Formats: sequence, structure tokens, C-alpha cells
Amino acid sequence: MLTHPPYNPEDLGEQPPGPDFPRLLQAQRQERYPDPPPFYQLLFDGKLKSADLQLWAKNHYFYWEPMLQFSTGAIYIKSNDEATRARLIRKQVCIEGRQIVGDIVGWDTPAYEELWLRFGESLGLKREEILDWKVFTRSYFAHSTLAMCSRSWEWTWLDGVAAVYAYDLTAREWMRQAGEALKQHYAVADQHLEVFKVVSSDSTEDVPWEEELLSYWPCTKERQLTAARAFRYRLDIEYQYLLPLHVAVTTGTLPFQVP
Amino acid sequence: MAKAVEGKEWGKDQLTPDELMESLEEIRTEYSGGSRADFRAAALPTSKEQVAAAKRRSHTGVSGGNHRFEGERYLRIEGIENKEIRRFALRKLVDEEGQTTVGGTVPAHPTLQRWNSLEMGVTEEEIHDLERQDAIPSSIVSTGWYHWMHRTAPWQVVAASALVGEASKLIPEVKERMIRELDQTRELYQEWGIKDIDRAMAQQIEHSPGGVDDEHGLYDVNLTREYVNTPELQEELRKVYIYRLQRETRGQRGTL
Repeated sequence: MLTHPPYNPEDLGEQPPGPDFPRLLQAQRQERYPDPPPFYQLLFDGKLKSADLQLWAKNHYFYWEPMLQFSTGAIYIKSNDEATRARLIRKQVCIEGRQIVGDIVGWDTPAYEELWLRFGESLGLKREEILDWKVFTRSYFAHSTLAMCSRSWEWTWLDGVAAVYAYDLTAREWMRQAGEALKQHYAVADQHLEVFKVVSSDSTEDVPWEEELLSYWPCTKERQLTAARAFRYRLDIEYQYLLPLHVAVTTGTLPFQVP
Repeated sequence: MAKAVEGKEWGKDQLTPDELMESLEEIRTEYSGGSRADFRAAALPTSKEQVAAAKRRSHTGVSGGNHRFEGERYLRIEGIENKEIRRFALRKLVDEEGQTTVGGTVPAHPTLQRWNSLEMGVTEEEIHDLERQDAIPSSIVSTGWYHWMHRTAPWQVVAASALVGEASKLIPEVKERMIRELDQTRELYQEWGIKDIDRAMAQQIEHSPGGVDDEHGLYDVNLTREYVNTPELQEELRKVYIYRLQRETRGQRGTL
């Protein structure tokens, strides 16, 4: 309760699980979702039209703002382990724009949502078109679920970190591949692809500390079971967020949108 | 309805920004025994052992807390239209959780607090054990209220609630007292033979005029003036402001 540090393996007289636990999570991911989300598969294969990319640019803004911003911040707030918080707050700064701490370390990268808007503009969209877009209802439901689990009692702080790990494993792959595909198949110029480079690079940097943490703290069976479930649910949420886009581009019919 | 300024009542009439700030300062003075400088003022300690005992109490059942109030403040500021305010709240959080988290040199405030404890003779092992003990009952309920308020009050009020602590340091009388206390503390630590006085005083310096709270206090004032702008929000802030003053002045000692 309040701000007590969590009991560590030594306090509990338990053994840390070691690298087997993050490996187990990766195996579960492979079993549940061996392939990228179908929309991303089409993107990577160069099978989307210009209008499809625009639709993605509009619907995915909500993913960065508020979905990723809020959920990551909520997990940070739950964490009473100081070392974990130090990692999570740095992650939050990356999401919100490294320029926030420019006076301390000279960083000038803007927020993910700003970089995404710039990418959208390169596809011929106006900022207002992206900001005013009514997100697909299933994507909104995905956000609501992630916000609730991250903010409330559904996930512990450690479950939250496992969920962030699921995000980073997917973001480092999908954003890198998306950037490459946009350049190769859709002739998007390099200068408009910053968001893909920044996000995949940040996620690549974060995976090692998450694996280290997940090799130490889930030292009881219950901690492992709940963290693994949060990991799997986060994967579900990621896939569900993108599903309406696949429906839209493959059927030509727009799925439900928020009122 | 309580009277705010001549001809206006809290919760019924909208106060101008100047009236709001003036009325809040009047409330602060009331809780400072009539003197603006007395807010949070405490007698200087008389021995290293006395400080160590106080530090042991402060570690009991507690391990840092900025994430549970500054963090909640940050998260409460929703809406893309408020993203710049929210991002300044995140910056505040970085300052308090440690600029070291992003590659800077200033450590987290809980680390500075621990440095002071270690210089006073409290050991790392003691701190580890104390942090895992049950918190002091009066601290549980006053901290519980504080966290709950941050989760449930309107974001404008949550953000403005920081006025009580950080913005108090903008008051000239408080500023003078805190600067005086820095010199007094240094002298005491020299007298007690503290080995690394700079390390022992790092937390106090960080929270004194010239430290990080200066900029944060100005932010709190500007935000309050601009966004706490309806009778309802102003009345809610009045209550939170009073609760915080009650908590800050006597709540921690269990004498509310």
C-alpha cells in the first residue's frame, strides 16, 4: 500500500526466475501471434494503397496520444521500486518528447504524437484531418481496456512492466519494418520517417532492462502467472487496435467509429 | 459560504486571479500563526541523534512518494489541448525523480533524503528494513488522503494544490528564513562533525530558494491564475488548500 517498496526475492526467500521467464513470454508470443497484425503484413508486403496509408495515419494518432502516453504513465505511477521508476520515467520522456529535458541533456526530439503528425502530413493529410478523426470503435475499446488495466487494480506494477515489454517487443519490430516498407514500396522520403526510427530505436533500448527486470522480480508462481497474462493481454490489445484497419482496407467498408 | 474578499463568497462568486491568490495567501497566513514566514518552520535540531531519529521515522513504511502525487498530477492532466501543461508536469517529475534518469547529474529526491540519513548515522540496512515496515498510522491516513485527492479532484485543482508547498518559497519572508536555515544547518553539521556536509545538505539545498522549486512554484502560480477560473474550481481549491495546510502543519505529527 502507499509507497512501500515491493518485496524482492531475498525478502521472500524465493529464487529469481532468471532469463527463462522473458524467454517463456517470447515463446507465448510466438505461439499466440506468430505473424504481425494482418494490416501490417499488407503494409510490409507493399500491398496498400495511398488512401489506406492515410487511413492508418489518421486512426493511429490516437495510439500515441493518449493510448501509449496514458498507459505507460499509469504503470509508472504504480511502481514503488525506485529503479523501475527511473526506467519508466525515461520512457515517458521519450513518448512525450525528449525535448522536455533538452536543457539538461541537449535532446531535441519531439513527442511521438508530433512525429506521427509530421508523417501524416507527408502523406498529404492536414493536421486537422488527423486530429479530428473519429477513431474506430474497436481501437477505442482497445485503448480503454489498456487504460483501465494500467491505471487500476487489474494489473500490478509488475504485470504492467510485462505489458510494456510486450509493447516494446512488437514496436521495435513493427516500426522498423514499417519504416523500411514505406521507403521501399511507397516512396516515402527518409525525412518523413523519423517517427519509425525514433520509436523502434527507443523500444530496442528498453527491451534489455525490461528483460533484466523480468528475470528478477517474478519470483513467485503467482507473480509469473499474472505477469504472463498481462503480457498476452497487451499483445491482444495491440492486435485488436489494428484490426479495424485491416477490415477497412480489405472490405472497403469502414468499421464503426466513435460517436 | 465563506467570505473570500469584500463582496465575494467562495463557491458563489468568481474571483479574479489576483483575488484568488490573495485569498489563498490569507488562508496560509492563518495557518502559519499569523506570520507568513512561519509556514513549515520548525525549531532547529539539537543533536545528530535527534535528526537520525526523525529520519528513521521518515523512512518507516515509505520509499519515495513523488510518483504518487507529482505522477498523479501529471496523469490527471488529460486532453490534447492541455499537452503542454501536462509535459511541464512531467518535467517537474523528472526533476524530483532525478535528472539522472535522463542522463543529468541531480539524483532523485528520495536519494538525497537517504544521503542525509546516511550522514546522520542511519545505515542502508536500517533504511531497507524501515521502508518495509508498516507506516505510522497518522502518516497512513494523511498520505492516503493526499493520494486520493490527486486521483479524484479536478486536474486544475490537483495541479494548483502544489501551491501550498512549492509556491510558499516565493514568499520573501519564507525565502529569507530558508536561506538563514541553510547557514544554521551548515554550522550545526560542522559542530556535529558530519563527514560530508554537502552530501548531507543536498536535499535541503534542492528544496531551498535557488533550487528546483523556484521554477516549479512560478509554474504553480501561473497555472492557478489561468485555469482555476470558476467559482466551483476555486471553492474546491480552497478546501484542498486548507486540507494541505492542516496536513503540512500538524497532520504528519498526528495532532490534527
